[in-house]
Amino acid sequence: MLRQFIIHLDLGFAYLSQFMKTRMEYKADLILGLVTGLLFQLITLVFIDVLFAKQGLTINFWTKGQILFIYGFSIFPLNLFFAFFPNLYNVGSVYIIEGNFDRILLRPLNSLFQVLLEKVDIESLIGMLVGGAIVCYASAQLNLEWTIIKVVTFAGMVICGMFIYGGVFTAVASFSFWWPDRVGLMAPLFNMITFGKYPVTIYNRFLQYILMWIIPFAFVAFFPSAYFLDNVQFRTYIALIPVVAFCSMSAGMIIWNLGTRHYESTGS
Amino acid sequence: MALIEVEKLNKVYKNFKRKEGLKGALVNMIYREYDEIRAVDDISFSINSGELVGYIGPNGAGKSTTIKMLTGILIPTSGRLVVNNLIPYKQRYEYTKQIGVVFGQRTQLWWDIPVIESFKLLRKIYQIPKDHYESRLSKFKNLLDLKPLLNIPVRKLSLGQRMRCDLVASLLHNPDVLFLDEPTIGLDIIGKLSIRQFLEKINNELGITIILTTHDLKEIEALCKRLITIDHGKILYDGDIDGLRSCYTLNRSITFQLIKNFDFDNLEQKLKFDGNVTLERLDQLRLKINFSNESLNPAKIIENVIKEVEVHDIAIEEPSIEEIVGRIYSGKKN
Ligand SMILES: Nc1ncnc2c1ncn2[C@@H]1O[C@H](COP(=O)(O)OP(=O)(O)OP(=O)(O)O)[C@@H](O)[C@H]1O
Ligand SMILES: [Mg+2]
Repeated sequence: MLRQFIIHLDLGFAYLSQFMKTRMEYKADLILGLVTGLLFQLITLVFIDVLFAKQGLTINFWTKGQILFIYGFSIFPLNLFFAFFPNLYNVGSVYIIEGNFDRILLRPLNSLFQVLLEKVDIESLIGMLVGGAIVCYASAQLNLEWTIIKVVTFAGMVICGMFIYGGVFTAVASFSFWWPDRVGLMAPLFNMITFGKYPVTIYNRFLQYILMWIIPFAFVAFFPSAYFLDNVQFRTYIALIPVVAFCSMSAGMIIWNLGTRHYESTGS
Repeated sequence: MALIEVEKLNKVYKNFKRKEGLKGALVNMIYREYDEIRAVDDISFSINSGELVGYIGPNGAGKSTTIKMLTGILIPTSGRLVVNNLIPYKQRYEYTKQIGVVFGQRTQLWWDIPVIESFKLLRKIYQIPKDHYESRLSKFKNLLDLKPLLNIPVRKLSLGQRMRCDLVASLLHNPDVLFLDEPTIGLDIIGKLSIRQFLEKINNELGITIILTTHDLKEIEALCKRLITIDHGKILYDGDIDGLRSCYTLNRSITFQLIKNFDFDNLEQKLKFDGNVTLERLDQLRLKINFSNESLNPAKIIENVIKEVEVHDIAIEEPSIEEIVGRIYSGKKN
């Protein structure tokens, strides 16, 4: 078990370094990707500021600073997810319909791991700079104190958030094994991500329930932020973050593995 | 015990029947109908370690489907399939370390990465010890003349070059069995020949068991002692190639080049054979005798003819393997 883990980890780095090498061949491409990524994030930031300037100081007892913090935090797990899980989007078309999953099944490695590693979107990581800027700005406004422990917790929660997204979207991508011709679920779920960028308490009970227990996007940014905002009300949920991340990714992997048994390859 | 054991193996594909129009699309969302295709139909065979088996059949016969089940890509609908005491799709990690696979239609290598880097990744994936890796690579590199290709990304290789690289990639981890699905598709004569010789060599020298599908029967004839033919998912023949010849009623012929003009009618009268034999006059000096392999042997015919006339030259025509296999495919015994 541990041995398998080490082999996979080692390979992860080997794949990544290979990937970076090929990306470097297209330097202009990479730089353009980085610049557009940064630009996109900056535009969102300006947009937020304008939005809040108009809307006044609070939404449903949340101050602008707090909301900015949550928003800024949410950028981290989302971009980490964009960086390491972009290939989930291609599972139906490239791997299942075109039959490239054959190749994946012929190697003594976890199949999801291989699919994820075959495409990495490093450019997305640049977006985290903007997230960092927003979080710093919000922290200053709210007079938050940062300690080493908090920084480490921050990183841990960001990674948990990535796995929550990862698990949910792995599950959705797995449905292509059963219905390769139907890709409809990905887009609506993608829109759900937006709901996780704001305090769950602003939504109605039904939506709150969904965001917490069905598609647990509330655990990606909102509950982690509540920890840094010293909001004692959500203590239980904060403690549950790693559990939810673990369960989400595990569920995704279980559904993936069930799905692979339905893989039928192609006729030629 | 045999290396590969296949017993009553079946694969049924379900093809979703799409209904047309808007109403059809709505119906599709709720209720799905399927067409069933029985691509592999109750086949059984066993293959011993060290064999080199040709697996042939017309388009859509079920060859690739069988190979995909043997390599663990597809899960059989029913039946038993054991290779080296492992069940391919169940014990995937362990199993894939023991087999090599090449699909002629599609590369196993990473598209954008230079060949040598692909090989290095494979070394990591299969945990191949460095000295083993290097000795195997240098050996194969020489056999298939890979040196000039190693630093080129796979997408820039020609079909034949890519195939050679794929073949080496499939062998780096020292597999016991090699599965090849149309490994020479689209290659020129020289490309085919070099792959053929390479396969022969690794089968003989390394003892790797090889199962190979192809549409090139010359290749089968040159390479494989054993032949399995399949059509409509069913095995039609399983045995050696000579056995295949004697198994079917085949027309053979002998042409005699005579020294002097001959009296055909007179000769036909004198030469009386049992069974189904016909004489034919090609021109003034050539006589052709058609017979089937069931009725007579050629020696007998020749013996009788040279008693009657003076013969300058003799040519015996064998039915080609194409002809025999064509016969099998079309389902005719005679
Ligand atoms: N993934 C699939 N889904 C549905 N049907 C399939 C699939 N793959 C193959 N078939 C069908 O199964 C049958 C056998 O196909 P298979 O690919 O095994 O044939 P083959 O012997 O390899 O043919 P060829 O010589 O053309 O490669 C065909 O009728 C084909 O249409
Ligand atoms: Mg085929």
